[in-house]
Amino acid sequence: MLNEVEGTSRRLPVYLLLDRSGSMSGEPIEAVKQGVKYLISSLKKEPQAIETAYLSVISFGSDARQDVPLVELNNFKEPKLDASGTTALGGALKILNNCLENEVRKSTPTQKGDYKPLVFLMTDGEPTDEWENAADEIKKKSGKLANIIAVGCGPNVNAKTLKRITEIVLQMSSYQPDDFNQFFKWVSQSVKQASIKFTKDSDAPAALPTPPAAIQIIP
Amino acid sequence: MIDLSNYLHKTEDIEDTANVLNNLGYKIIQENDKTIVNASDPSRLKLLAQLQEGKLPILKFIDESRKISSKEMNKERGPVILVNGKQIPIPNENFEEICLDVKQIDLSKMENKTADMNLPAVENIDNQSIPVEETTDEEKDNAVGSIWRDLPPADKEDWAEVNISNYIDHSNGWAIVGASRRGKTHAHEGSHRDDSFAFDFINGWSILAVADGAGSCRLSRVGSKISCFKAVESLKTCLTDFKVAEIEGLEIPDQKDLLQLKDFLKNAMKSAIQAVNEEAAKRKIENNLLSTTLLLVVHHAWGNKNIVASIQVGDGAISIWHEGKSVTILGAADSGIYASETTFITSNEIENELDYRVFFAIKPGVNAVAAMTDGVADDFFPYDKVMPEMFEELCENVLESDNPGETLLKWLAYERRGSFDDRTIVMLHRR
Repeated sequence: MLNEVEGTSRRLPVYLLLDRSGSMSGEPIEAVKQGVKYLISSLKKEPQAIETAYLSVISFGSDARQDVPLVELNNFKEPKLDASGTTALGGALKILNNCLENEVRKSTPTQKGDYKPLVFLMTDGEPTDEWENAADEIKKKSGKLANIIAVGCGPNVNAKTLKRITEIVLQMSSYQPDDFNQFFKWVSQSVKQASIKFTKDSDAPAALPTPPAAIQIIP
Repeated sequence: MIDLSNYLHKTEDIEDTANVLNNLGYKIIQENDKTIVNASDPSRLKLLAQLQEGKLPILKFIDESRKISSKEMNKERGPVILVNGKQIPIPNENFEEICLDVKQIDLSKMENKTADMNLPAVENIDNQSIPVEETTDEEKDNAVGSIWRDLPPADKEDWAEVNISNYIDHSNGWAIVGASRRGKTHAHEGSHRDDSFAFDFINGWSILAVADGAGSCRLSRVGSKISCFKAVESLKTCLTDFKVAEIEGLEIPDQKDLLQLKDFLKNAMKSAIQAVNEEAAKRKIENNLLSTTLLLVVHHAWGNKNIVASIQVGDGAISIWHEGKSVTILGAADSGIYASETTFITSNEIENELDYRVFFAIKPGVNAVAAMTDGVADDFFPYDKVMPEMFEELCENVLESDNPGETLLKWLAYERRGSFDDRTIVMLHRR
């Protein structure tokens, strides 16, 4: 049995960008926390996900921060998410951009690259900070350097805003805890699928499982 | 129907058993000092009959009843848990929370009663250890190992054997061994091995081919198999009467001969592409469904040197093992910024690029030439540092064995975290 070379396992990076603005306080943020818990335990049942999925959480309220830097499933610790304040989506996108450039490994002659990252962005309202530039940067990467999925929840979301960030925009019409459950179930299925069917053809769009009834695709 | 008092003597045993059977779908009727057990469905009635006829002891009867109930539960409601003799269905999302609750139940009071009644679920809870510490790497690997399934392929059409190997000793000083092993992903899903290989020997030429069918394409195993066979066939035909001229004082072969060899390799690739397109047309499907990579390499001794020539579309690697010391990679893998992004022989305009995909090596001291799909190549990266270890191990253990094909196949089962693709390698080596 040959010795393993350090750190040469290819990872599937998964980024969760979660809104913790004031409007998410109470049931919504609790449902999000439950959802993250569910996501982790669900992925831990899938052997490919255990060996390749790495998760990171970036949250945004009045400020934006990377609560959990990219870490493997078994070492993931749920972040504290308190909902209050405004919506620094621009800040979150800047952090994401930085991660895609520096945290994710690209293939080089001496380094094994990661699989194409999956990004799930969830927000319930309009951004309150400077976000346009960061959004445009992310849009450039969307599809090519990462599969970015934006999900708006509730009536205060502007689909146009999300479309500026990525082509793949979905809408959750309500804040019901069950809707969040469905969302995280779908995230789990997407990650499982990505860890199994690594698409070989880089031009083909990411094949995602059908979203649940609670979430509509915005064409 | 039966009277429990005929089978149990202690009142509390009768009561408890009655409760258990009630939860397992039986009808219990108290008649004076009789506890009547009845049922209305055929399977339970059958068990009652067996109990009555003395064919089934009471504990076995309870066991079998539990199995019936379990089957019914699983059909309707999914996972259930036995607590205190009661079956509680669990909504999937809350499974873990309920598990935690159960583990905290004080079972000491239950112990005496359950001894007679043999309730396995409760015993299991007793014996279960609750992992609270972070699992060690070894434990992680073992735990993951137990989750991996190994299912036979579900699709009965276009059958590809799960693992294959082959070996030819040319008794001219060279031998070729090849093996292809289905990866853990396909085993877990119950889908086919998508890799293929082929090799042959003619007129002093060794011809090796490996191919990796695209994971996302349903019939890529057909594409990879056809490509390998057609390419090897094409090269065999071209090389039957072809020899690279050996002339006194010549350091490298004549340009003319090398160009001819280049054409042969291009034609072999083209014939593979054509065969795949024809197969797609025959089946009336898009040729993309048969997408595959293809790596071809040929070898011939040349004076006191060796000619190694290759053509490659896709990822994977063709490597040369020099004098037991160093590795060079011939050609280049197609790859994107990220893992698993590559090109296929069915890709648009690929035939226009074939000129740039042919590579030559003219070297003395070649001990082995190997062609491998990325399921193997990826595990020995970076090539210059890690692949020598692979060659050493193969030359020492695989080739010296009685059945090199089988030994190579066994070797391909090595454990490596994050490595679950099909694995294929064909190696030409000096005997």
